[in-house]
Amino acid sequence: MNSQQFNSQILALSDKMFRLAKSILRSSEAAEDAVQELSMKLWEKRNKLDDVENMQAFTLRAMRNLCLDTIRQRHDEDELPAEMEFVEPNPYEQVEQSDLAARVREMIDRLPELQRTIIRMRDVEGMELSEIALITSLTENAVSVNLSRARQKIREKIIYEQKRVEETVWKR
Amino acid sequence: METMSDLLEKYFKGETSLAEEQVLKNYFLSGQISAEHELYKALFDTFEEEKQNNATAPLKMVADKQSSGKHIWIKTLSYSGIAAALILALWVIQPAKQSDTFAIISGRKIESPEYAQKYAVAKMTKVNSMLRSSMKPMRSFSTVKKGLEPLRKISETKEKIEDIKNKVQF
Repeated sequence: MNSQQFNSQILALSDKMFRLAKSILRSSEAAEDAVQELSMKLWEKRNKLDDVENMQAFTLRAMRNLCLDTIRQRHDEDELPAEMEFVEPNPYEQVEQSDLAARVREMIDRLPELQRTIIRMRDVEGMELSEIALITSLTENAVSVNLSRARQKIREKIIYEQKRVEETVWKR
Repeated sequence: METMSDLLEKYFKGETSLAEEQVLKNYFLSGQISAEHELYKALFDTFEEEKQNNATAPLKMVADKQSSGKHIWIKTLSYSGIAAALILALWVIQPAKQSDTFAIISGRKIESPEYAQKYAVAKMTKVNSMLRSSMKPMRSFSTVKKGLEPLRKISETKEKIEDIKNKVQF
């Protein structure tokens, strides 16, 4: 693979790589670093990339693995536990999260890593279940189950939020 | 025919196709949303917003820099070749003006290029031997440094033992 092919096939995916890394690492800076690191690694191995059939799946799978390794290595204290449930935001957080879209983003970020990765691959990147299965090393059925669980959880949280807002309005 | 409510139910169960999901996205982007679906608008807005969330690092430079690095020797050789050709051209032109060319060595005017060249080579050889002899102590220094390497490891080991001791005390 020459530099032109590398630009058109790998670096063209940099935004997708960044969004995936940010979803897993929950930090823009860490995501930028991960994208740079993976790009360099892939560039060094560019001669072996000609045989890859699905470059997007291959690259995003490598990115997910790199991010998971990063989390394992740094034992980041800020990393939220994988199964952490959504808790009602305190008054301070409510002011901070006045934007409903930001609250929804927070809900997605609090999903387990696999579920938030899958929901974003599907709903943000518009990927087929088969491709998500390739990236996550799961069966299509397992991807579908995780996607459904992720969406159901988000729905429950949105309904919960809505009720809370309505109750607050009634109390006033 | 499926209503938007049916489609939303299918969506939350993870049973919609990409085409059906696009219908939902278009519906929430249209601004004509029924009141019962209003609470899900933020979810679809968030997905749309996240699509704009792009990497800011100048990644395209990675490959460009690397590829220029790969050809750096070719470029260097090309430039050296051009420089050598220029010098050669000057050398060829020079004999016509030879009578005007001279060098001053130890206050004497030297017009013979052969003599000047021999003189320069002799001086350079002398400088070379002086440099070699002055570098000898440096070589000895690196030998001593190598010899001291085990001592450094001993002090590192001592520090590690101290650390372990401290941890055990706690």
